[in-house]
Amino acid sequence: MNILVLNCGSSSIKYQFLDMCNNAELKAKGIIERIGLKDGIVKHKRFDDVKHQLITDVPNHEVGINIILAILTNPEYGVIKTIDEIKAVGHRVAHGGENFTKSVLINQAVKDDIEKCIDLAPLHNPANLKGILAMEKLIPNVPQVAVFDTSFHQTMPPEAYIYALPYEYYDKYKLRRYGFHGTSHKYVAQRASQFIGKKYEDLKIITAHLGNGASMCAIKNGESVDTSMGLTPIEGLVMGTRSGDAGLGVVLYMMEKENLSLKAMSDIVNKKSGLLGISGLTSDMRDLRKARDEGNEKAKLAIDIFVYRIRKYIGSYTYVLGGADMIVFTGGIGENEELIRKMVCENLEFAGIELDLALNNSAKGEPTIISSPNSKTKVVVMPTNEELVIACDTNKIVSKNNCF
Amino acid sequence: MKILVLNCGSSSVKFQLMDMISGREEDVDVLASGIIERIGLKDSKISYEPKGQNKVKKIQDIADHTQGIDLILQMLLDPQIGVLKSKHEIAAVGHRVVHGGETFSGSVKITQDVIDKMIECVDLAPLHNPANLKGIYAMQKLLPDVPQCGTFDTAFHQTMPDYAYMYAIPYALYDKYKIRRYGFHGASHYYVSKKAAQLMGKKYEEVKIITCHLGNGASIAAVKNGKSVDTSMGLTPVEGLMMGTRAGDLDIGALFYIMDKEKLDREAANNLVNKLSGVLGVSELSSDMRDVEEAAWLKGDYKSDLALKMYFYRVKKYIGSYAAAMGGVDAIVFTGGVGERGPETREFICSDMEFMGVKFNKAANDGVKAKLVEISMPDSKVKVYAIPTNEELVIAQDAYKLING
Repeated sequence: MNILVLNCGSSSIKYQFLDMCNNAELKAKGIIERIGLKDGIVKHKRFDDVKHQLITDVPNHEVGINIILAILTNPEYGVIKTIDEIKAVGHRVAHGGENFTKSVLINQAVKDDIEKCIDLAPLHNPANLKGILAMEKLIPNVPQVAVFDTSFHQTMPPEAYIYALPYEYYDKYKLRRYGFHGTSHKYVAQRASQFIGKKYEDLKIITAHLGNGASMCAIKNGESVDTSMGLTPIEGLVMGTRSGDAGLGVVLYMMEKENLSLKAMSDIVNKKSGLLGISGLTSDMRDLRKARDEGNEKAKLAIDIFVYRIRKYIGSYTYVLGGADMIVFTGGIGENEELIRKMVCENLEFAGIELDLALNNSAKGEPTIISSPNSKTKVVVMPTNEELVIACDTNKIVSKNNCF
Repeated sequence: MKILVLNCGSSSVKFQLMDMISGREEDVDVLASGIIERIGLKDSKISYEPKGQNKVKKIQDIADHTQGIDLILQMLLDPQIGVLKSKHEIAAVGHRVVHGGETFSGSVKITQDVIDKMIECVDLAPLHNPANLKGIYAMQKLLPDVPQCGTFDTAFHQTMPDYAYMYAIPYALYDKYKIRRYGFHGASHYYVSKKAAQLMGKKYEEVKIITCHLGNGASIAAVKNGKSVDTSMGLTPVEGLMMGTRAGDLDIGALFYIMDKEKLDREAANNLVNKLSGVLGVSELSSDMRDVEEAAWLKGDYKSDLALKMYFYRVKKYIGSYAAAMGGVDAIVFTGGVGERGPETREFICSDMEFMGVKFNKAANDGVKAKLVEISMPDSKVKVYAIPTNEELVIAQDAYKLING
């Protein structure tokens, strides 16, 4: 069965086309950027490396998706003859609020519920909905499935998700911690369990999804019990441009001193903080590391703070879980930056964590156990694949077949 | 040598007169203590307790800190209830000062230069530092020849490494406003961590201790080899643990969301997260743990039960986080009103920590209030203690050391 996976952002659409009958083979993938702006950019790549690029105005998501369908059916660089070969569409949806604890087949009620969550994710959910509506219009008879970033974390207990604010805000606005990157945390935890030959449901796992956005998750017997992002993705770890945890007092102080509006302040903690803010250089870990190695003090500090925050969450979740059996690194930084992994795991022998430095050094983007054989807690690098999870969930819901 | 310790709040003055004798804790004698509340309001409340005598309470209008402190001196010198013959017996005054910024990493003798630097920190603690200064000015006026010393709430935490005290916000804001984490309750964390090292029979400089100061305000510190390396309060005391009425850690995005939805300005938001949140906000009942425990455990109130679970959960997460920060932990200490008087709180927080080498001693803990007690089993790898704090003693001892050279 051929499945199209869509990840619609406010001004972009990422897509992947997978053949689920053929071991979830990735047939093609691509991205459309600058939707709604002049000169939209379309990039497409087929499994055999045949590429297609164009620059054209893409005024809205519907036009964008039409372009994707045209590309997929193009005789030269496409992968199917007609759009009838698309058997299902899987959508990434950012915020499912408390309504969705797992992936669902999209119907009117689901669309209504996604719309109700717009307030909680004002940038993402409208874009996700646009993608769904466009698809319905363009290929009306194809089933669509929504896979939520938040649903995996719906198993958190209230003491982990309620904020210490007046309770009425939870009643009134459903203001609570939701967490994100759910598909990634779940996927890498499951895969890493298989990889070390253990049953996912028997383990206590800490997953660190370290990309430009970054979050951690404590997973106990297959359920997320805590995660570092909250109502919004600002909370938790230091990220490329997000501050992560920072005191409320700090924010209110800055707003007063610099006379900032909510919007301006939000911009600072979302777009100008994190690794970029501290270093004053870049939000990209590769560049930052280079600068650090060349002796840049602020680059070093940015990395130190980034690492320290992760270490603290590892400690925290170790206590939450009553001991961790495995720590999994994923995301661009988690998969590729051996220095970060080394710094994070240093001096944590007391928690049963012991890295094998050689294994750690060699691990790059491939599933690898990087802890030493006698480390009580296994440490694993596991590349994430959120699109695959979306495709599998979609496949499962549409065909009732298990994927992996 | 008699030292007067003053803790001046915006509308209150707490005091203790201590006879230091040798300066060592076991030789210290508290001659009198008390508090004046509602300064500047009608019907100020005065409470005074001389050693070995009954507490004296009265109500009288006190216009300002100078008048309040003058009254304290009068009471100390009173022929009936007083404990001093002459005010010249006071050898030094030790002040608690809330915010010392990056300027003060230890207690100091107060000079004009120190006062100037304290004024520079007013911006960082706009409620507290001006009150502390008022106490100093009043004393300069009333006892002009007596040396005064300042002990800062923030000083003990000045040993934090940069990666612990810097926020992940644009660096320029640190340069411009010194926005960073400072931490508070320093004297308390210092006192109980040092005490714990003594109890363990170890050198303070060789142990890793996590101190939980749980009162109406609450903070945790990681003390490694005698130095604070991290603490949960930040630039302001609102950060970190859930407190009586403070929210503690919260998604900044959630703050924006509420400010937007409820049309709150900065002051209203400040009030919300400082005075209406925490245990009070979640339980919708009280900021006092005793009330909330009763409602949760005796009446089965869901929100009170949730508030307690959250409170314990967050302390536990910080303990884990600081164990990782220090690469292990040798002792966990509970102090502050809740930490000293809440055996249930201590038990809940320490539950399921066996994997980390904590063997909790339920029998030793049960019912113990306001007493120094070891609450881990003798063979527990990580020791756990309840230790009554004594910030006044730290202030007095620091003053003693400063004037004795």
